[in-house]
Amino acid sequence: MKKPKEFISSHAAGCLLAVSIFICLVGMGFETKNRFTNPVGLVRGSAAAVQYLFASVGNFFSGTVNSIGELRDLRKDYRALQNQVEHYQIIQRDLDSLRAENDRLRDQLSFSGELSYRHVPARVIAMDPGTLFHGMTVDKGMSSGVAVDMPVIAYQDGRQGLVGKVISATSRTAMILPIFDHECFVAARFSAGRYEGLVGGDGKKGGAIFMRYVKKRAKEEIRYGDLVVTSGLRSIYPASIPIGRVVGIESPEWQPSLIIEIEPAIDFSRLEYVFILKQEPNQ
Amino acid sequence: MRTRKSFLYAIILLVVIFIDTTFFKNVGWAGVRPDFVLVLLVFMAHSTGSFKAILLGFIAGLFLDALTLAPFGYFGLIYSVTGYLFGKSKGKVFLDPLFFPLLLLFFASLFKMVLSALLDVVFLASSEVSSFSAVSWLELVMNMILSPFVFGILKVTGLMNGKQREGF
Repeated sequence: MKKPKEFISSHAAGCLLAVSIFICLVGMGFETKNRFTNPVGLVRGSAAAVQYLFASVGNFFSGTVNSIGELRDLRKDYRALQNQVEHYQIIQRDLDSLRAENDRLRDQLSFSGELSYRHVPARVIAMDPGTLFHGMTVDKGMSSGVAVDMPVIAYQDGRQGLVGKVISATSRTAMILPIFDHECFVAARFSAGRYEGLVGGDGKKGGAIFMRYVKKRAKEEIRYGDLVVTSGLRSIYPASIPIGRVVGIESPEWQPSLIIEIEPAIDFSRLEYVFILKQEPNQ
Repeated sequence: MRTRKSFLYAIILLVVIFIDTTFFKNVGWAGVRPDFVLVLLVFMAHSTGSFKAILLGFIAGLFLDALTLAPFGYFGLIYSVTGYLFGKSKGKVFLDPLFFPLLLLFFASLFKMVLSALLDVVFLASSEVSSFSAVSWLELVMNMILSPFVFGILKVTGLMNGKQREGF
């Protein structure tokens, strides 16, 4: 029978492995019940400054290299823009008459006006590596008024789209759970048919997301390319934020509802800037 | 001297994690990129042995847990056990520049997939995310492709000159 000291010295690696596994299991057990509590927040908070620094250095170098090519493109764009200005002058006249007509229609329908919220613009400074988790870290945190469960949107190519929600925040950074993550669910509806459902991802970055629990009778009305927006019903997301467009309709016989495949409005692989919405009207 | 080398390994792993989450955030093919930490850890484990590899894996894993959405301890456990297993190869396997790095990373990536599947079932109760999905296999292939290059860099820079078996 070996004494404990002898046993530990003869099985040092095994003992160390056992201690490591124990700590990790306790950590996971604790966090899966109570996510993003202190030990993680502490390390994440202190690491945020270094992440910020790395991202800034990277942006500086890529910005310098890109600026040479951009100068060449700017000249081309300038000529194209001159042509476009003439074209837009014609459109402007049409727009004025359309705007007046729109105002009249809006009054008739008693629309309360477009909803707008106060927002915090933020830059994506880090993304989770690997394929199992898909968090995105942005450079704004609690000091800018960001809080957990705030919805996040972005503009790409002049179009608005839903990105996800804030899942944790430190003083200077926040982590975003994107809509394609398997843990993100959004109450949604079709912009045209008004049928409702629940949008969720399958955890594949750049892949399609899926809208479930859509009534089967909606199948006749749904078309490829239909816009899906947030419903705003009992949800943290305001209504009418575009989520994506229909690219597939599936009607499994064993399910009472449809499964709609949606191409997200946002291309997550080239996402750089986002807007975190506060649930307060814009002043 | 050896302690200094292990300390250097730990620093390298932490820097790689920072670079991986910032510079390379939009790099990849079909949204997938290789697991740089795993690739480095396997060779470092082969160089240092099980004891130090557990510590390296534990530190790097917990750091990655803190920076990502993974539950605290998830990568810590995966990389600790990986470090232990692949540290056993120290002095027993002769690493040629191509075949064994590929083989080591094949088994290490496969082991990571199995262990993460197990942890997903126990702790995340997730049925939607599969550790054996196409993207995981793609990551495995990427890890294998990367392995000879990382091995070469570690050799050339003198960071990997541990005791090795002199052939079969």
